[in-house]
Parts: sequence; structure tokens; C-alpha cells
Amino acid sequence: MMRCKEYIFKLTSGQLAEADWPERFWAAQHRLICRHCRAFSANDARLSEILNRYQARLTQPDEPPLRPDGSSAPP
Amino acid sequence: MNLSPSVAQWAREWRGPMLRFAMLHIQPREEAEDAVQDALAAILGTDPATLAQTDLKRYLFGILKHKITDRLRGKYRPEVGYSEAFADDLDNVLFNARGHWVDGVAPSSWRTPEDQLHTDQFFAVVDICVQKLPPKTARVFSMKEFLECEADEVCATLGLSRADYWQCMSRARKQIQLCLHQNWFEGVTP
Repeated sequence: MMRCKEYIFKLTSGQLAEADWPERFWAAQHRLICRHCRAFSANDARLSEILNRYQARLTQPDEPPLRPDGSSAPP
Repeated sequence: MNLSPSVAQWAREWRGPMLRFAMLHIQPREEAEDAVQDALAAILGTDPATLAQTDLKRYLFGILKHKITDRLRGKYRPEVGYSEAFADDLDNVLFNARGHWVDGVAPSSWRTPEDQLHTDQFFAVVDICVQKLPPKTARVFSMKEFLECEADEVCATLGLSRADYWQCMSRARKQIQLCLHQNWFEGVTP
């Protein structure tokens, strides 16, 4: 039986995404019986979306500087 | 050097975001600036007509990615042993001797409304949590997540084993989730 520590390591390291079906089956079994790991997994999926948006924001072009009157400079 | 107006304008527009991105991977700032400068210099030789037909952001950050990985390869390749990155073993805090969660430490499910996760304030907290990662863990994590390198490329560039790579990725995702949970999700009323 998979323990929480092993399940969370496989999930967060990326091994689970590349695992064969028996391993994914046992991981799914563990999620069914463990509400803590179920919540952590849901948060981890949301974290991926958050990190994608964080990366997108980092690489956004800077806002044009404001003029003294508060309007933005033309492009 | 004569720069075409469009290239000079692109450089002004994109230098800031490129530097922010480079600084996630390379310190000190001067070295990150050099990588950005190398990337911008690389586009000077490109035909503006060709550039006009490409996705400029993807093109610029593609070049920057190579400049960053070149520098990381040169800087960290001789380094061996990532084991010290795990000296402060987070797992000892999270799990008991039987491998189950220690009472009270497992994060509950995040239920914050989606619109609150698009604010400047939220991303400031994300930034703090990412910056708090131990340096070696951060290097591996940012190459995979932000430079979008495959695991094999991360291992080859930084000279680490696949087992060390898994440890770093796991450590990073666990730490960031806990950090966001403590500093945002626990304190925000849904």
C-alpha cells in the first residue's frame, strides 16, 4: 500500500505523470482513501495553473511610462 | 552601431521583462543583464522583415532561454552533489516515521474564488514564495517550469542525477504550495 510520503513525492517530482498504469492505479487508490493527499493533489494542479500565469506576467512587456499629465506616451 | 528604429523599440519594450525572467535563473543581476544583452544582440543580425513575420515574444524568449542555459551550463556543470540542497529535509516536518501526514500540517483544499488569483497582490505573494526556494532547488525548478526545459536537459545542464532532479522538483512544489497556503489561502476569506 502506498503511503502519503511516497504518493506526494511521486506527484510533486513529476514521476506520477510519467508512470505506467499499475502505479497510477495505486496512486488513485491512495487518493481515494486519503483526504489530505486528495486536497494536496487538487492544490498541486491549481499550482501549475498559477505558475503558468506567473510566468506569463513576468514576460509581459512593461507599461509605457506616464507623461507628466498622467496620460501614457504613444507607442 | 545603427539600430533600425523597430529593433531599438523592441529592445526598449522587452528589456525589462527579459531581465526579470533572466534574474529568476541567474544571479547576480549584472550577469542576468549580460544574458539579456547577448539575446538582444543576437536579434540585431536578423532581417527585420523576418522578425515582423514571427511571434516576437516567443522568438526573443527562445533566444534568451539558450543564452541562460549556456551560462548555467558553464557556471554549474562542474558542481556535483545536490544532496546538501536537502539538508533541511522538509519531509521530516510533513510526515511521521510511518510516512503519513503529521497531524495539522497537511494543507486543506484551496477554495479562493478564481478572480482573486489574478491580482497584483496575489502574484506578489507567489513571487515571494518562488524567491524563498533554496538556490539549488530554485535553479532546477525554474529551468523546468519557466525555461520549459525537459528533465534530461536540466540534468545535463546542471550535472545532476535523475534522483536529485526528482528531489529538487518535489521539494520546490511542496514548499511553494505550503508557502502559498500559509501566506494567501489560509488568510483569504472565500
